[in-house]
Amino acid sequence: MRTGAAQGYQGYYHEAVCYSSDDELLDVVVPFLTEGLKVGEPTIVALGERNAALVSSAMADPAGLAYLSGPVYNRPPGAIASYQKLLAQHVAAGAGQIRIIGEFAPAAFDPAVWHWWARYESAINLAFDDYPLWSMCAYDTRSTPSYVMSDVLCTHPRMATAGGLHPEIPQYQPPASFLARPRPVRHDPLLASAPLIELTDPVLEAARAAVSKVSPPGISPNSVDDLTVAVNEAVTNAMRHGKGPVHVRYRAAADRVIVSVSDQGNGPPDPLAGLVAPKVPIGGLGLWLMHQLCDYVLLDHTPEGFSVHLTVGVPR
Amino acid sequence: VRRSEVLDEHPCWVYDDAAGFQAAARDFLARGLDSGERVLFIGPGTETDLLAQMGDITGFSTSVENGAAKVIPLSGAYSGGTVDPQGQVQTYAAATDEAIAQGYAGLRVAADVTSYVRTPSQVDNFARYEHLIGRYMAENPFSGMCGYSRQELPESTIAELECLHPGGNSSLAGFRLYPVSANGEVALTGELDFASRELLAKALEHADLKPVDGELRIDGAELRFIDHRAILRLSAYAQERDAKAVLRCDLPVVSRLAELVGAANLRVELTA
Repeated sequence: MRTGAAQGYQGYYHEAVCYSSDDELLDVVVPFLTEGLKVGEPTIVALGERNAALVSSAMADPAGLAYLSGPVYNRPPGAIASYQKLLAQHVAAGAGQIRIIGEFAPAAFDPAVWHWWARYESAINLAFDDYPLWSMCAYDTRSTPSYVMSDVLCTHPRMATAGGLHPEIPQYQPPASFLARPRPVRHDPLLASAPLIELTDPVLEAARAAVSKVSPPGISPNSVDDLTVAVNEAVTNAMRHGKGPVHVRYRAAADRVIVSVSDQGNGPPDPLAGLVAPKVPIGGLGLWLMHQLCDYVLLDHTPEGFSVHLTVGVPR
Repeated sequence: VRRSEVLDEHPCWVYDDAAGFQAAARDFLARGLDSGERVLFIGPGTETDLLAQMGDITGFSTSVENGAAKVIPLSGAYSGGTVDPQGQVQTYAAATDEAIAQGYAGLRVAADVTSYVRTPSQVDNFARYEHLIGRYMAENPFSGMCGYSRQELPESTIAELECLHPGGNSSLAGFRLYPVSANGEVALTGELDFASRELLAKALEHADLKPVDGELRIDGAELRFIDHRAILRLSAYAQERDAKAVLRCDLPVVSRLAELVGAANLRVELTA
């Protein structure tokens, strides 16, 4: 059974908390968590260390809160998969609703990687909709960049505000339209340089072999292997589903390798592609694996076609 | 497993002209004679033709006279247009036993088998034989070079057969799946990707692996790349046999990949 603002709601009740002071955050979050504990719902805190301590010290009885931290927000598809697993476990154990308060580590707001976290915020509206989840995503308006705030408004159907209000956000766009809409993307400056290697319609073996050729010593062998798998999947997809010719461009700096796979097609038709593991594990896994194995993946729809930029190392 | 020996025991030799195969067969058989093995050369043509083709091997005619070497016109060696996989293995096993009993170190055969793989059903049959004879070779002093004509066979047919051999002079399939023990443990080498997915499925069908203690053991020490499709295929193949596939390799990425795609019936054992 659903309780609180989500009473009677089916699926994922996804809210943003946009606060500008500790008090404002606590005014929203403390009642949310207190009520969850009171009615016996799994009540989970996925905040950074500072805010987790702040919230728990403000609660009259924080015992019973569950805490999540660290690798949950490592990569979007990993975060989605681990939350789905957690939610499924609670539902199987009989939970009528699960409450989560979460926030990103500041690193997610880095312009070099925000794009895939914006896609995450949109995709979870669908990916978590099978579960009776009520979650709040906390954003500190004092420190969150404006490009992030504008995506937050487009990806959260509702806002949770002090005083127990839950207004709908007028800028909200369902994932199918938010994710499909061509958005201005920020390119790693390395992409402006000439590729170290460029291959056109390569056989898969050659596309894979070039990865280790361009990888500098600072990139770990595991990362090189992961990127090799990702490149193999990207080239396979471009050849099977894209429109040739397929261009593969390899660039590297001391701290990262970027491989860009481009074709003249429209890219994946499913806006969730890459972020959520397909239900049937045959086909459609390629893009999801790229997102799992790389440190950053940028899907780039351009007038010329579709490119996927795969980065291991430190995205910039 | 004596890997270097296995590699030399069962080469797949893809040739452009008959003279090319004969030259490779001469090298292969001469090594056998040097090691005290009995050698057989099997191919199309008459006995006289075959003797002439091997004539360059030093002492070949003496070897023929004393029984160390023999030439066999093709129809005499196999049972007809279609090989009986199990029966042919037994025939070679008996011939190997006989060679050993007569004081030879083993038996070594070079055969042009092009004419046995002209139709799809012949190919299926012969591919099964290739796997079974590989099992026998893995633990017995028997070795064989299989010759396939590039002029007479489609590349897809050659690739289907090539990938069941541990070695040879071609690399069409990109990977190899071959026995390393008599009970069917196999080695999987090379690179497996979207381009080889159908060949892998066929190779697994031809190998028809039987679980030992609920496991299909796969030696991936010389595996260089395997994509998620091949990982899922191995897992599904093991599941069809109520078994777990156990892939031993030194590629941590394979372990990560198997976990990510949820290959429930495949376990990766990292050796490094």
